[in-house]
Amino acid sequence: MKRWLRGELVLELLQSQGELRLLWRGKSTEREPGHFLVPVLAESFESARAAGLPLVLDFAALEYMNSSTFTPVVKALDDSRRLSVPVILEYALSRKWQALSFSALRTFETLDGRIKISGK
Amino acid sequence: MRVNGVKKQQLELGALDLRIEPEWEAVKAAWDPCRAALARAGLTADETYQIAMVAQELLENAVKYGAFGKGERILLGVRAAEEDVIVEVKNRVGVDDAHLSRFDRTIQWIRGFQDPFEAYVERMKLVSAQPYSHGESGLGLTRIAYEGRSIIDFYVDDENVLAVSAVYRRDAPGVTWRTP
Repeated sequence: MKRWLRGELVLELLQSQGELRLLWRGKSTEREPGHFLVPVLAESFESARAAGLPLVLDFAALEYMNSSTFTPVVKALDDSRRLSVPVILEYALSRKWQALSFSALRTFETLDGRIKISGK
Repeated sequence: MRVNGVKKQQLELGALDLRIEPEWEAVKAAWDPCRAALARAGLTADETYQIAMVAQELLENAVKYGAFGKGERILLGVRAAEEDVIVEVKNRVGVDDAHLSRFDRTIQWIRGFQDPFEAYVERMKLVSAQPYSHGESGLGLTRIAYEGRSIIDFYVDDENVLAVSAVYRRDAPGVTWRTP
């Protein structure tokens, strides 16, 4: 397991059977969250590519993220395409803000399942 | 609409006025007072969250793009009524501020969509298509319109104070807010 902490945001990269999971907890409220998130996401994608596993971006436990945080997340979906790493973005339907915001990301889903957006 | 005494008193408890230092950490500290005031006015947890998010996005914009003299503050006002909640953020801006033009264009762009969900999806696509940058994406304003189900407006007064208001319609009749 690998863990990153920035302000109120905690990210944990966990490997389990058949997937690498990046858990998001707390709040992402940095002025320029990309400074912290872009390298973490790049490392997570690289680990998934090396292990031959899909990467799950798990937002279900995240309490809040500002709009600036969406930019590195959306760009990460681009990276998955470029690196040929399947990515699953999971969010909590029970959190209204997640249900609203993340459902909009379904526009990036691919027919071959390489990018999946999944509300649970 | 007629408002009985108890309800009126409850709504008055939901009024909030804060003078906030134009610092990132100070803006974040507005979250809890905002939610608490709205809860006192009888709004649901989902509503208080949505409106606090609207306030945060507007305050972040104020810190990023405001032009503050010594000791100047950002003003946050929140007023709850039976049918709507108004969030207003005021801050000084620079003369002939380029941000204001982009701000205006983004608001007009959002208004061009019948459904704010479509604006939000389109903005996500634009963000995806652009090279990564820390500059203005317009995502915050679009998020206010969609996730915050608010109508945004603004004016600039003679002293170059920008006042941005977001009107959140409670149980907006006839408006379909797309859910997954």
